[in-house]
Amino acid sequence: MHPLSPRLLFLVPVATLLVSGCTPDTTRDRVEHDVTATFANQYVQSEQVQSQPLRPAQVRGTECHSGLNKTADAGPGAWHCTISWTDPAGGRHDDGYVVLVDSLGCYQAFSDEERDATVRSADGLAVPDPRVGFDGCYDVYDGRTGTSKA
Amino acid sequence: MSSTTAVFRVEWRKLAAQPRLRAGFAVLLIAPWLFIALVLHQDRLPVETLYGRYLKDSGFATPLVVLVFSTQWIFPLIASLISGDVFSSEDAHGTWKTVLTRSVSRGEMFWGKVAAAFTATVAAVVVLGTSATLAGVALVGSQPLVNVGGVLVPARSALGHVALSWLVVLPPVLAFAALAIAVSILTRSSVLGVLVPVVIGLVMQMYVFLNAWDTVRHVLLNSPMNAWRGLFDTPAYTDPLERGLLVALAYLAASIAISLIAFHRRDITGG
Amino acid sequence: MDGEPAVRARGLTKRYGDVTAVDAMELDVPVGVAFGLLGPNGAGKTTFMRMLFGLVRPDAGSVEVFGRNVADHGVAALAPVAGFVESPRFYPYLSGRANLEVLARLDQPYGDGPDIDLVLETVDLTDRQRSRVREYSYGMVQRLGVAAALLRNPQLLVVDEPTNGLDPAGIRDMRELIARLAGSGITVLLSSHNMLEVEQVCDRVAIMRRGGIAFDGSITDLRAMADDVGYRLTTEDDRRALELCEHTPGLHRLELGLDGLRFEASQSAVEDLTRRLGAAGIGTRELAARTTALETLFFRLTESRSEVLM
Ligand SMILES: Nc1ncnc2c1ncn2[C@@H]1O[C@H](COP(=O)(O)OP(=O)(O)OP(=O)(O)O)[C@@H](O)[C@H]1O
Ligand SMILES: [Mg+2]
Repeated sequence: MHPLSPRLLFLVPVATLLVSGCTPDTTRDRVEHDVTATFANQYVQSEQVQSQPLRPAQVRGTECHSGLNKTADAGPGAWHCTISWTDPAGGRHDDGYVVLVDSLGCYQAFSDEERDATVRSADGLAVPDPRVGFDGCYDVYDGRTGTSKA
Repeated sequence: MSSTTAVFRVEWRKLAAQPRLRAGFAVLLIAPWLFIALVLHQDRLPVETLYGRYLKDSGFATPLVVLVFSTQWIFPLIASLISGDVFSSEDAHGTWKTVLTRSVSRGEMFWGKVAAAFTATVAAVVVLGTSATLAGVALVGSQPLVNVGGVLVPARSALGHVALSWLVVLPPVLAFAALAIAVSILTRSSVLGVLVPVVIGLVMQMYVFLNAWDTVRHVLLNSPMNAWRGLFDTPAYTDPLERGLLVALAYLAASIAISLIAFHRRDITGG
Repeated sequence: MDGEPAVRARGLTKRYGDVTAVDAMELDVPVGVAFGLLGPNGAGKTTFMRMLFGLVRPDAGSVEVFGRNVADHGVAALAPVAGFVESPRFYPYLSGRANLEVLARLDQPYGDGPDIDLVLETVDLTDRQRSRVREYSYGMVQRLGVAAALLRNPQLLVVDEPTNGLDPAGIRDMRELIARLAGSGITVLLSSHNMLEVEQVCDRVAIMRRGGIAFDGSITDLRAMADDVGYRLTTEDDRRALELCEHTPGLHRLELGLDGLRFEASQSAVEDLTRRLGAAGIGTRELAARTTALETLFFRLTESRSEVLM
């Protein structure tokens, strides 16, 4: 056995722990990526509920910042996201959302303005618009570790 | 081997004879129905709980919301109420000398009791999950459910996901049960056997609420308890589940090993 | 009576912290006898029986049951043994019958014992078998303990102070039951601190003292050793009587108490004393035997500080 190996056996897990300890579970990259994808799906649903022939929108991207953490965009709590998308007619939208992120990799998103907006379903009922409030989850072990404030 | 089965059957009979346990199962059976009935009665929805906003839209949201609640403190409570007592009740009644002077070795006694405690714990989880699913489907309906990826999932597949989600919490629930067994063997006290794992569960839960070092949280039982969430995403992910299973198994193995050694070594002087 | 003894202890030792509960104990219990283990409180009787049952691990030495070491063979060595240490305990929320059913289930791998109805009948609990044990009186629990032991159809019955806490009728019934079982060929090991009980029930006796064996032999052997009986004497003038006693040969452990003179003496010495009292003109008010011969011996064996009598 290599003379260093016992020490290595001890150091490797400790180092792993420290390094991974420095990477938070809730990162800006993860939140932005997941909110974008989930919003796109919720948009499709909103269209389907209204039984319209699908008018494809283009979700250009999302910018999110932690409301609690002033030094990095990381950690659970209330976040604010701006979702930028283009409607079929070419109109550009920048919608603000409050995103409540828990520490286990899930969140609830609420639109800033139209929190209680409804759409009319095929059978004429007013139902909550899937676009304005939704839940999402992301993998806290994936590679999207960026937490830059910029 | 047959003695372990005998112990298992005896434990099962004793559990069934205790009104406390029957009452507990009745609560698990009824509570989800009350919960969803109350929700349907109100205008507001628990939108800040995962799947809470869909409670009125699909019956499959009910078992998932109940699961979210249960992972926080109900599962640790169920596990320790059942398992925290299976060994120490013999101390309380002074009956170790009665059962250990029959034709059952300590090892057979241990495994029979562990098997009974685990089976009862699993039964409690299954009863709660089944009851919640039935309540949701009966009182709300079996509409498709929106998952955490924002995708509408058809009823059949949603039901499968609900079942799978309730299934994968079993390892961490059993880890809590094993913890309760260890505490009750080491302290020989039913009160501590029930209380300590519940307190451990609450401390872990509080740590999750704290915005503290994430790595510690990865080795708490909350991680496996909540790993089911990733299965019902689009696309689904299983990293938390795989790591969580290892964590749960580590707790399970350590607790059982400590329990087994302590149980084999102890002198039966009481009673 | 050749072959292995029912119980054999060799160098058996158990310590609880500083207390040596059983100290290098050596004992053979022959097959087929009713064996009394006598000793005052704290002598180590219960601790010995717990080691016999494998409930407590010896610090040194071994116990064998019908030639098989309990530490090595575990439940297999204990298959022919049944009984209880201290007062028997049951699940209070189950009926007496349900308790026996549960225990019978745990016996099953070896079980061909008499059925539950029969053992309940033997201990006279048939009427109350459906009541929860919580509602049983102390004596009923004690009898259920015997029933639970009989369920195993044992070759060796080990009972720890079985008449403890029973009323006089209960004591009589319990002693009769044990004597009957002993008569039916079962080896009985019974612990007690009551000499009279052992005299009634047992044919062999060992006396324990501070973790060791102070005497081991038949009741007849013990009687032969026991000649002196404890007496209490009250007279019209105890001071003069004391003086007289001091000059009477064959009187031991003479002391003047509040209730009169106490001493130990052989029968002939007492006869001699009464003649002397009469001659000296001291009127006797009461002369009573305080203890039986065996009790006196028991106290001498278990209270003496230094000498070890074998
Ligand atoms: N669990 C224990 N912890 C500490 N000391 C103990 C324990 N059990 C017994 N002892 C001590 O060991 C000694 C022997 O006790 P044991 O119960 O064997 O005596 P015994 O002969 O059965 O007495 P009794 O007639 O009162 O039943 C006593 O000094 C007792 O205090
Ligand atoms: Mg005792």
